[in-house]
Amino acid sequence: MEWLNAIFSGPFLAILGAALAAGCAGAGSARGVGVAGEAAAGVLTEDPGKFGQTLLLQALPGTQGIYGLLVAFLIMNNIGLFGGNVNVTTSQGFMYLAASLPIAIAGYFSGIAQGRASAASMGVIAKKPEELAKSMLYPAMVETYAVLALLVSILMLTNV
Amino acid sequence: MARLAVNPTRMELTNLKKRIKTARRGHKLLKDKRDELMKQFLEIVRENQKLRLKVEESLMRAHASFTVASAVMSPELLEEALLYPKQSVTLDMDFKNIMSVNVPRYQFITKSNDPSEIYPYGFAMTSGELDDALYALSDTLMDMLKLAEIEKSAQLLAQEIEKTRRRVNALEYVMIPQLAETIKYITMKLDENERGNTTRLMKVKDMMLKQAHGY
Amino acid sequence: MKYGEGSIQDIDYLYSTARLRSLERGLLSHDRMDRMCDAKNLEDAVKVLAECGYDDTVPVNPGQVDELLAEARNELFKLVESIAPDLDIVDVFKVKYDYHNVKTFLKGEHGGENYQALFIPCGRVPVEVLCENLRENSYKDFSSSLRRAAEEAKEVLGRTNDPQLADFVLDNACYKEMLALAQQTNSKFLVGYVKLLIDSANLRAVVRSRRMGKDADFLRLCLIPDGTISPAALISEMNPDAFEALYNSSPLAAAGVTGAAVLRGEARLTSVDLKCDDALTEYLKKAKYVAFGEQPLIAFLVAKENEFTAVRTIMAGRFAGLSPDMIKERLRDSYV
Repeated sequence: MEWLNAIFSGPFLAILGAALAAGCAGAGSARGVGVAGEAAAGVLTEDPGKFGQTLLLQALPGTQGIYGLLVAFLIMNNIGLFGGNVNVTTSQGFMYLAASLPIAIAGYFSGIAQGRASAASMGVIAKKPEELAKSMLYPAMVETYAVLALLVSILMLTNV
Repeated sequence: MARLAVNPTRMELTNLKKRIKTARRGHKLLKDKRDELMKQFLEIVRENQKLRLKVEESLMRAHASFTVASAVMSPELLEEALLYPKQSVTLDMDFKNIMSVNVPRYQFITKSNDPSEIYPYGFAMTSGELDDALYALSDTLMDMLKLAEIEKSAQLLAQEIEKTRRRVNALEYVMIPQLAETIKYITMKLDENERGNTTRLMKVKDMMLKQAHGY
Repeated sequence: MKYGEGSIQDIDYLYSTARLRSLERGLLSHDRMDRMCDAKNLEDAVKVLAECGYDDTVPVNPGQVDELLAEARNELFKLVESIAPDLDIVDVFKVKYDYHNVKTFLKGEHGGENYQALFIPCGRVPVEVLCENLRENSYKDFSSSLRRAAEEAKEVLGRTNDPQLADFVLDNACYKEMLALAQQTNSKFLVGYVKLLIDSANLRAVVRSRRMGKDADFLRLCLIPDGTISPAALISEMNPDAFEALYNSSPLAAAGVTGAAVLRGEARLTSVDLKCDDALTEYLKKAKYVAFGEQPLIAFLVAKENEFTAVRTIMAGRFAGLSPDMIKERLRDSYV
């Protein structure tokens, strides 16, 4: 039963939360940036002059990963992981885990969704480069929900 | 006008008179023939012109349709569609006699009597414009054949007219004047002889009277 | 990439779609067509072509335009094959060239004509291989449908000497195979396109054969059975109004109306071809609203093939000295 105790121990749960926040949001961003990157490569093959514009669009889905990282850092800081003195009760551990979920889940899905929207916007600038600003708005809208999730995660963390 | 190199004898004169009579007769007949040929020729030429315009017009139409068809279809597809014909035509020829000129007459026989058998291709890959072009062409075929027939007739008739005209002219301006000249020459020569003879006889008569009566 | 049973993964088409969107800028748009028609001289018209990525040497005769376009067609297939994640989709558009080459070989051999220049090297089977297979009756490099159709067409041509019947056999098989291949790719868009293609081929075939005065038996041979409108209905409806009604709810409604007008003798046959092509382009335009997927690829391929026709029409018209309006009259709608 020792491993069960280890799982339900406060520090493990808190670190699991940090891992989820960084991992899921990062995975979402990675897929999103990958999707956008494939499309960017397609545009670049025919039109190397659009490197800057496509790079901008490709970078958009990358923010979720940063948010995840931020939340993970906050959790680790809160539980005093960097100080080497982790002192968290089991119930606190569950709270940290729960607080990480918004950015983990929303980060993963919004990253992918934003990647697709970015890739679609690549199609727009491929045909109409002058519409870069407008076409960037569409993937940027997806960002809202990642930001909201980040906000919720941070609010939760500060009040644990 | 040169005269013929003949002996001015009475027998020759009779001969020549016979020849000039035949020549005049031949001249008249040939002139009639020429006139009739001209009449026929003009008729044919008039018909030829009408037909030619018609053929040219429908060929232009066919060509226009073809231009469009070849623009809409890629050249490979177009040529493949027409690579192997469905309908086939055989040509029959016989002759007709116009004023002793043999002119050809063409008749053509198609393998199938159905007029829609001229399209040798499927419809899925070809344009409708090609149908129009083929139809216009096959429509023109009959007229084109008729035109060929008429043009050849006109050509043959023209040759015959030229030949007849040359004969008429030869008779009128060479043969007949020559004969007439020769006849005139012989007649005059004979008359001259006659007169010489009379003079001589009168002289002899005078001489004989002198001798007999001593005038 | 192997797909599941369901639909296509549009993510696989990210690169190709983005690249094609870039290339779509180079397509011959309606504006450009107008400019080519209205250009004062051939040089100016060729300048527009150069904008679209064609060679800018000024052709001196229509034959050079054809050469230019044949080369562009070969390049198009090379490009599309290099970027398509699923080559089966491209195969759907190559099938027709296989059947064309088979037709060319059979007819050429049968008639003893010189046909070497008429092959199109864009089919699935390379031309030399195709000829060798046909010559040896081995068909080892043919797909089963192509093989069956080639054998049947050869037999029909030998028996009846009728190239039209052989064409019907091959055309029918061609569309059937296109549809089968399209269904294998799981692309609903592609299946829809092929079906529309079949419908429009049938529509034109009905109008044209009625105009020639052909009977139902003939129609039964030349109609392709796999469209959305069954050949049985097309054969039984002799009345132009009923014919028109068959297409009421189809994308080919306008073409149906024109077809009926032609049957009544009120319109020219060319307009039916035009309306059919426009309906197909209209279908393809749906691909414009797809962010990424196989649709833009399909649409680009077809748009490019249509572009070749447009270029040929304009250049041929210019060489023939037609007025800009007369050329424009014959131009199809363009994808961009």
